Amino acid sequence: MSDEILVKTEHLKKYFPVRKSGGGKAFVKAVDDVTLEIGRGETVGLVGESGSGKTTIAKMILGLLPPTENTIYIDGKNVWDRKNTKEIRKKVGAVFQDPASSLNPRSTVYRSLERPLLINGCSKGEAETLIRETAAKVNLGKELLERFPYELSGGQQQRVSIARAIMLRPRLLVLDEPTSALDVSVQAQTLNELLNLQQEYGMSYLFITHNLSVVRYMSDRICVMYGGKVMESGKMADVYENCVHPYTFGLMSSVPPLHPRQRDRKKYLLTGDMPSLIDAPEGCRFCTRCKFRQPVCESQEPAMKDMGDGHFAACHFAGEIEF
Amino acid sequence: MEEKVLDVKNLSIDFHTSRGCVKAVDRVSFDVKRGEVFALVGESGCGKSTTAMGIMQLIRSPGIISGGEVVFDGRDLLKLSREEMTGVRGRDIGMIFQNPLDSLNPVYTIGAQMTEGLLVEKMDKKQAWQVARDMLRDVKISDVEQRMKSFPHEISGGMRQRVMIGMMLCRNPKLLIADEPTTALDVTIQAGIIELMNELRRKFNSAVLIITHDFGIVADIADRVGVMYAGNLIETADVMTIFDRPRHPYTRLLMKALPTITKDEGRLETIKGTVPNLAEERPGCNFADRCPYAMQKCREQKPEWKECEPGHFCACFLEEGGTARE
Amino acid sequence: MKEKLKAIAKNRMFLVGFLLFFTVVVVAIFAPYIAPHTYDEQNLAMKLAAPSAEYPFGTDQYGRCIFSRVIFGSRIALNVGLTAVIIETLIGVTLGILAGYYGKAVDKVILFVTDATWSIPPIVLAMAIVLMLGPSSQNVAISIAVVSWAQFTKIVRAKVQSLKNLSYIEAARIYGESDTNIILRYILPNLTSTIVILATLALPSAILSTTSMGFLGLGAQQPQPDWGMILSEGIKYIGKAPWISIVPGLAIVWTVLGFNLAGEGVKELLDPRLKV
Repeated sequence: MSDEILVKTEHLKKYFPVRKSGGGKAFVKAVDDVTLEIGRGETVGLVGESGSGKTTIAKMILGLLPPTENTIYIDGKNVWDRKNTKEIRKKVGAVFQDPASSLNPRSTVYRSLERPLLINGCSKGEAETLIRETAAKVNLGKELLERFPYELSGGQQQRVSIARAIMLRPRLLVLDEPTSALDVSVQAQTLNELLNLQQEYGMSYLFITHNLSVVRYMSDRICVMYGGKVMESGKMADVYENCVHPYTFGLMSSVPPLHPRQRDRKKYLLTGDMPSLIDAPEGCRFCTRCKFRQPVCESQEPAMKDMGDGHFAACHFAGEIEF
Repeated sequence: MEEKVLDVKNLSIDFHTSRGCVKAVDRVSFDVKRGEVFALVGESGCGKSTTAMGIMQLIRSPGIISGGEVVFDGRDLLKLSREEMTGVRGRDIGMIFQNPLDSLNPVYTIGAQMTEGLLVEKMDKKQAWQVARDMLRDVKISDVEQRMKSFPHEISGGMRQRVMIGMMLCRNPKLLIADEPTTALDVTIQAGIIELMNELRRKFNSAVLIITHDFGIVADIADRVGVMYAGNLIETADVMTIFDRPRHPYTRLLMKALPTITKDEGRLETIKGTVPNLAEERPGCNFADRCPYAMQKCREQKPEWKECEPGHFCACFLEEGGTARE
Repeated sequence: MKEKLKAIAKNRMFLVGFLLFFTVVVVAIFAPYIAPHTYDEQNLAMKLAAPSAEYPFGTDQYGRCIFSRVIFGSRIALNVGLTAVIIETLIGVTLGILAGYYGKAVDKVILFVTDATWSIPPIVLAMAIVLMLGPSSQNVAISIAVVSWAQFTKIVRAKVQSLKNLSYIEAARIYGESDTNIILRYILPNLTSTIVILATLALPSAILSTTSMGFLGLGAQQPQPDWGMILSEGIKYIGKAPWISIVPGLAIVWTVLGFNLAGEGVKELLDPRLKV
């Protein structure tokens, strides 16, 4: 694995067995053949709606859910190989969506921050130094260290969450909707702090969200998922300005605009709901809702088309459609 | 000039808690005209949902409406009796909430719930079901017959919200109040709902009061916007003005905190400090402690609600000859 | 802290309950000092005597002071009740945690056993156990525990299932917390309110069961002053010396009511705080 790549996974799959109502077994193909790379110091935005598989991928990277097929490599080491567990643990941190349920209500902030250090070999003294240092870096006042989560605001709770995640100075931070539950002004503060921390510690971020404006602000590259598969991926600017996949376009035009001027933008509204992941269509995952579908879309799954400069799209007609 | 459907004047709502009296809504005034979408926007705790509850007379202890008028259709809603208000709610004023699953009764079919209100009005059963069917078609629900016989948990979140909208519109209300109607929905579903609301508003010419914290929704659907902070309405203007030429420092900072740029283009603006404790009385403006332009006057007196340009209202001392820096 | 005390003071139900059960506890602890006689002191000359200065609540068929017997009886009631609750809490909570946390096969097995226990009529099962082991207060405690742990398990299991998926538990797994530690440090502390509520509500029912068993003669044997037994013996003399049954009956009501009210009060106090 090249020196520049921190996280790599190829043809990753996660299938959940489920019993069909008529009897017999079927699989929910939550993640179906996903190839993903995250470079050092880079932020990759993982975008998709509920059921797209983005959270499942995060769980596999974090060691919470074992993959069905293939695996994930961090710094060249297999995440799911038992002998690497201790080492990998120090390299990955996670921040979740709901600040309130991210912290143990029975632990003070200090204890919550101390735990990851103590488990991973730090002495109490070393831990104290690290905690004070990290708290300062995330703008968490000293007086908050002895408080309980319920005494803190949502923004403060999220800061504690972030502090805890970076306690072991990880190389990769997985953020799953970290600011979705926060107010606009608090979100701005949190995002800025995340950017500062990234610069200071050289971390890579896997930023999972459905909020396209936030992902545009934070990401270097973006990966758009739907129904367990990657629809389009590439540099943020490329995908944002020249998206080629109908789903990406649908997603972008569905996102509420940043200014009333854009109200009359060309909209491509997606009808219907995401199809069940149990009886996934034969061809393209998206074809049941795609305005531009052709017979080939229903029978054949599209291969990843290389649009140049790291921009890929899984569509038979990528680059040919006029939006 | 379209007529005012809803005219809220100096509405105040207090909550008596063990920590003191919290002025959740403090002398809020705004109006919504026929066919217009008014967005009441603000961050958590600003009082926007409480205001909507107050308008609907759904405030319960320890909350109490301590002042003001809510003029709807020529009547002050605050002076109506319980029965009269119940008659207004659901018929003349429709309300849609954030989580449609909470608003629909899980043990009755969609059809039964939609026609319930109509049958109360002594409409003939066949007619009621036809009206309901037509409404479901209007809200772009496919397979209408099947849906009428379904239970709420059998249909998706987006469809439930459409059903809610349909149920409300069945009665052809003059005013529709929507409290965070799309927050619980996926982005692509959200867009469909917004599009639907736009269409229906045009078709039925209803007035819409939408409560939200999402400026994207505001940009997508609002005609006029009211910004709330810590219980006060601090600025009101038409949507273009709010986005392009906000006057109040809070609105200005909030606009700059929206992620409209990339990280290479700069950093988002933040607002230092936190929302003040509403249980404590302070003589001056609630935003003074966090305002980069605060003057001595701002901490001593409360600014008045003034019209700074036609249709643009603001409560800030900067408007009175203070330096309006950019 | 001050706010919590204020809340307690305002909660009348809790105060009344607390007062009632506190007196029972005091009486049990200081029984030898409060009772005018010992519980087995016989005075055959005074048998079936009506209440008087020397025998405040009269005597039974052996001339024993009812007042003293009932006072000493409080020790048996509390002892057995508490023992039963402790045992059932330990069993019920442990099984509930294991079932809720590990799920799958473990859950299926525990659930099966729990449901099986739950479906047998409690009195029948309790009687069967005591008859197998022999009548004594210890065995009554055991049988009550066996019959009642099921509700602990079900509720704790449900709570653990909901806690298991919270982000802070996931975070703990990510930074390497072992399953054992997760249960002990993260889940158990967050179960304390639930457990306290369950235990305080289980106590009055345990005491009631104790007295029922005593009534059937399955508890502490003579001359031990088990309330239920005193009550049952007194039925023969209900015409001539009603106080023999009435006094222990009132004591039972006093105790159970006290614990019930206090328990409801504790639930009210803890519940709103849970939302904080």
